[in-house]
Amino acid sequence: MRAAVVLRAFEILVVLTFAGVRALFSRRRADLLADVVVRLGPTFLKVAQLLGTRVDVVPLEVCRALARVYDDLPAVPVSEAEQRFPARLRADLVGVVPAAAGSIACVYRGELRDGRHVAIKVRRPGIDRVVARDLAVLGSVARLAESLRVLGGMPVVDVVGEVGDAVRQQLDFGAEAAALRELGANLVAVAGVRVPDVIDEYCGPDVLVMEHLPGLRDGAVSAEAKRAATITALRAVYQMIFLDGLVHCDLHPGNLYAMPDGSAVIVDAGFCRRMTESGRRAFAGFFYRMTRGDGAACADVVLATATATARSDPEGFRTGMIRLVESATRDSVADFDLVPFTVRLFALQREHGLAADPAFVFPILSLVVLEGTLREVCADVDFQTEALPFVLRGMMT
Amino acid sequence: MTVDAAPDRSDPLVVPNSQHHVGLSIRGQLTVLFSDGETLDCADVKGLSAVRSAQEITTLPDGRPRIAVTRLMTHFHSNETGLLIQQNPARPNLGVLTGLRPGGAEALLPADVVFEQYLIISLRGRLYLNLDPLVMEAKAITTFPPVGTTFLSRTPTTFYDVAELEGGLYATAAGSAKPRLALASTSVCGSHVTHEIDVPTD
Repeated sequence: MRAAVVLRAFEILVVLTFAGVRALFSRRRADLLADVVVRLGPTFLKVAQLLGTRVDVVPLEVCRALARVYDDLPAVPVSEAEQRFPARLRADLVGVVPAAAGSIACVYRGELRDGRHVAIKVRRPGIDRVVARDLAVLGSVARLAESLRVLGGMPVVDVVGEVGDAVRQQLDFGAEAAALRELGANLVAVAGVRVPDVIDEYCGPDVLVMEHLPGLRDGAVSAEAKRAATITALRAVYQMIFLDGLVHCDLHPGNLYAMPDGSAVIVDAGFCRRMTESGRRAFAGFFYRMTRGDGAACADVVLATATATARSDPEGFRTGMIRLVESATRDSVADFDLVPFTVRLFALQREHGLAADPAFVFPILSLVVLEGTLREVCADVDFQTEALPFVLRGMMT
Repeated sequence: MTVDAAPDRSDPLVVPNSQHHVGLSIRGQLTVLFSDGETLDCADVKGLSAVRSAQEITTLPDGRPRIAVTRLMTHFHSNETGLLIQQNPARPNLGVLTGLRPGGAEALLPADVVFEQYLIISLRGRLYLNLDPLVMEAKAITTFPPVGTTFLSRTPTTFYDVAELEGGLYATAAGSAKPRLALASTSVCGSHVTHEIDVPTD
């Protein structure tokens, strides 16, 4: 493993060196970044996708460039994938076709003898070894970068550790099945949301079998249905972050589908985070104070949850927070823009030596990931008004 | 006590050192939200309100006049839902009225007015109070008291069960208690006078 890590580090260095030289002469650096990530392979692809949501630590323009990285890889052939199916699934399947291929897993559509249609998610062969090796390289690079302070004061080791954990989590299909079941049960509370049922008897260590929802990728959805589904998805996120505490942090367009009847289907629970009960209540309290324009109380909530570093400056943070909340609530709530507010909130914490609590990072990131779809489909959506019923109930429960 | 048939409520000079008792019915939306998701819309809210204004006028740095106002009484009820809203006597219910143009008492109207209210809600056999003020604002009022104009509460306010708060009606912090309901009047909450009693100051 050690030799493999060294060799891989050398390979990465070569790719990055060539990319660096090209970047000197290129104006399309965002494309170049996406290209490099794809060349570096599935782990880096997944890391890039996850980092692309981390507006708390990564500059917004880099996030936007990373958000353009999509894994469009060839599917593992059906004959090869079938070898990884549990025996019972193999025995009961009468047909299998590829449906989608990602960096960690491929998805197939299958039909069972009893007529049911299923979605079969299969981990790519050997991906666990590849991920372990690449994360080891990334960990070393992060330690080096942090010791040399090449990225300013950014907590590179912590961020790479968190992203690494998220990538490893995507390899754990047992955890994903449990998350899907819990999300499905929780989101019954939001009308118009569906999460595919897990079919336990066919699942295995490398295989996750779910009900197949027809029409998921047909694309024949009216603008009205898309709008209704997107607002429903926003309410589902509010239900997760303010009430349930289990948050799907990766609701990009590939994991969220609008159905012709205006309902929303949420798939792929590979990147979920569970908030602590105190964290969930603190987050709801923060949002409530923000809607009231009470920046000082917002600062109190953040200061009670964030980790102070040696150079922390609570009073400076409080002053900045009061200004930020005043500016965010000065005009109509409909004018509230989540991403700039979030970027500024996290920047304020860094400037004043505070490390954001995960209770704040992940719920906000789940909204940031959804925000692109919201702006595209229903730009007039009022984040705060939609959130308030959930915020209030979140404080009361 | 005398009943004034037709006070000129648009005269800015009626603002300082005045006291008004007004019977009101509320137009707009008043909704109670419960923790289990139930909402209670109260469409038939009527009641009484009393407001006193200070004698002293202060001047802001930009020259506009400002005067303190105190809500002496708030008493609203909804017959359909059984909701009763009263003022919490344990806390002051203060506000300010700020003229829109520079000057003295003659510039007190038109004005912006904002009240911070601490209330007691009686509903379904329980008493609830708010720890964060319910902030009600009216912009560019042209009469005083500003009945008939629109008051707006930007966001809902949470209420706690008095029995769960350390200090009961006197509580100023939640401690370990959770809010039990929220009062929302996020839409425009207008009002009109059902009857008016002026109590001239001696």
